[in-house]
Amino acid sequence: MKRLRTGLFLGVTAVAWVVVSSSIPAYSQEDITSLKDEAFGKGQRPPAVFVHEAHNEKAEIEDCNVCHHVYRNGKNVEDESSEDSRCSDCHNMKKGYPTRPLMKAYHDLCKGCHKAKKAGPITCGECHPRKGASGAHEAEGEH
Amino acid sequence: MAEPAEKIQDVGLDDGAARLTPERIERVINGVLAAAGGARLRSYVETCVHCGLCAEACHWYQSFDKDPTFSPAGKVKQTMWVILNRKGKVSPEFIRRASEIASTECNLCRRCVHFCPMGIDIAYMMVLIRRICHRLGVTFCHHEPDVGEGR
Amino acid sequence: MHTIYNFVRGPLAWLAFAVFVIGSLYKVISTLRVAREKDIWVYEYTSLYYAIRSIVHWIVPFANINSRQRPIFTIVTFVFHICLLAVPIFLLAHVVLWDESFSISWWTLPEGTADVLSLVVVACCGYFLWRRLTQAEVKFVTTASDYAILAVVVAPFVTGFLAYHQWLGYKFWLVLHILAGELWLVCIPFTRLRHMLFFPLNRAYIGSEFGAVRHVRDY
Ligand code: HEC
Ligand code: HEC
Ligand code: HEC
Ligand code: HEC
Ligand code: HEM
Repeated sequence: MKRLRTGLFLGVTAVAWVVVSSSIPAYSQEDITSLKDEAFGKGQRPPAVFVHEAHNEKAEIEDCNVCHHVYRNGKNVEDESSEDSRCSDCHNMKKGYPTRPLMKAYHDLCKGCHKAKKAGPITCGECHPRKGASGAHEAEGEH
Repeated sequence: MAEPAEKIQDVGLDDGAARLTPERIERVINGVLAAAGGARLRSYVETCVHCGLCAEACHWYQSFDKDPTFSPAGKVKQTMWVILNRKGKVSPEFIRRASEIASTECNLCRRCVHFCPMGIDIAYMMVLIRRICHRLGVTFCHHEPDVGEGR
Repeated sequence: MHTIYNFVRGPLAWLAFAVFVIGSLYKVISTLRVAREKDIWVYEYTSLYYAIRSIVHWIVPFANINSRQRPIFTIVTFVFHICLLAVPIFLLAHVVLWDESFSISWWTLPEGTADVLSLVVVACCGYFLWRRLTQAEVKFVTTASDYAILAVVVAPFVTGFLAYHQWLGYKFWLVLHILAGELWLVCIPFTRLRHMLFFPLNRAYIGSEFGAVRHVRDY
């Protein structure tokens, strides 16, 4: 009985959370669990898993501008960051400015670091899990 | 109705095969292949994908009720494939049968060449088999026993 | 995971492509060399016009008599070969990897389409297997190596499909897929899969012999 009530409570909370979080357009980084940019349209792959806060904590990334960077004269400016913009505000779908289209910008940033650190997902299915964002974490434990 | 293929009695084949030794067979085969088996032979044998599409072309195959041993690739299988696989180390009995195939079960009409998607000249390989058998003195003489002599 | 994946996707992939390219060049060049020495008439007979006529005539479905006589086989084999080449070349995942490694990319198949085409390849291989097992004229000329080659050809498609769907053991199938794809490439120059390279050469010669020497049609 207790279990049922807990389940019910969690279920309602989850639904409420989904309704609330999806109805508020401006969300903060704590809420990010997966990445989906409308610039991709419908998209070919399931959204990439990325639990913003947990990820950066686990990966021990302190500087926001590793990802939210600002480039000037081809250099990543150390003390500036761009978390107020989306990747797609600067990296468009086509080649050209800056130098890589959006998908490649994501892949180079995420995979590039994972490869360099020899930690974190590097295969398509680990980042774009069919089971949805939650399944990926279980799958993650394998390696 | 097609007859079952029965063993042909022929003095040329029988006497010719009786005179053979394994060393001679190996020497002659490798001699012929070294001299005449060039890029085409290699390409033909190595490119054949064993698809069987040449069978329909052959009137021997047709008139023997689609017996696969009479299909063009089937004849190559029984002759050239074995010779190349064993590098010429084949028995007198094998040469006798090869001669029978190349000389009496193929007319070199080359119709199969027109059916092969890979452009393989199967008759060319039968000619090589004939040449080997001829060099070994295992050839058909039909009726007259003395024609089979020589070499 | 990083170590295994990086190895099969890095050095091993380089090796596979190198063996494929260098092996293919070696096979073709050495054959042309031997022809120059031993089959001199090959060069004398071959004419560009008849060579091209013959290659086109046998690469277009239903252009030649043989292909009209067996429509099912013709359709299966053409569909098979098109999918066989189109899927790996235009697969999104493959292009993403080319892009990542060399910053080159090109048009890709929609994922759903590529998925179906992979199954089509598997089905076509099933048809070929069925022919080998049941048709007397094919069965007679079938050797164990024919089954092995069929398995090598179908393996990247089966494993790629399983990996793509991530049903069970995703990483296992992915690594197996990459190994299978590399085996496939390595096998091309050294097995009968090399008909991919020698089809045009053989046809060029025999087509020229038909047209320029014997003055007959290329059926
Ligand atoms: C390290 C994580 C990671 C890996 C590994 C990865 N991706 Fe992505 N991918 C992303 C992120 C992040 C995005 C952008 C957000 C999104 O759309 O999911 C993205 C976007 C995409 C997009 C554009 C959006 C869409 O759905 O159409 C495609 C296509 C894609 N990835 C395919 C692949 C393929 C194929 C592979 C394997 C070769 C792969 N990805 C590997 C993280 C990854
Ligand atoms: C590992 C890379 C990475 C790091 C490090 C990182 N972020 Fe993010 N953050 C992202 C990605 C990817 C998004 C989604 C961007 C998008 O959708 O275009 C994002 C989104 C955000 C957003 C929401 C932006 C919006 O408009 O929706 C905020 C706010 C944010 N990050 C703040 C921060 C802060 C503050 C830090 C440093 C403490 C930080 N991030 C560190 C990758 C990172
Ligand atoms: C304010 C604009 C802007 C925003 C927002 C932005 N970028 Fe960039 N990014 C640039 C510029 C400019 C460059 C430098 C030119 C280049 O190499 O493409 C760059 C470079 C990159 C590079 C190449 C880095 C290198 O070492 O060569 C990657 C990868 C990248 N961005 C990914 C991302 C991702 C992922 C996001 C979202 C989290 C993002 N960018 C957000 C402007 C931006
Ligand atoms: C600066 C380096 C760096 C960047 C950039 C980065 N990651 Fe990571 N990521 C890591 C590290 C390190 C780990 C491994 C953490 C661990 O397991 O200890 C990791 C782990 C992960 C995991 C597994 C999380 C888990 O719970 O095990 C996911 C998913 C992931 N990253 C997605 C992304 C995506 C998507 C991006 C791009 C938006 C990205 N990462 C960018 C360093 C990075
Ligand atoms: C040489 C190295 C190769 C690498 C590194 C490679 C890599 C990949 C990757 C990463 C995927 C996506 C898996 C996923 O979605 O998670 C894939 C899928 C696939 N690959 Fe490859 N591959 C290689 C060779 C080949 C070859 C040679 C073929 C075919 C002959 C092939 C056919 C396929 C197919 C059919 C799929 C699945 C398509 C689908 O069902 O959606 N691959 N491959």
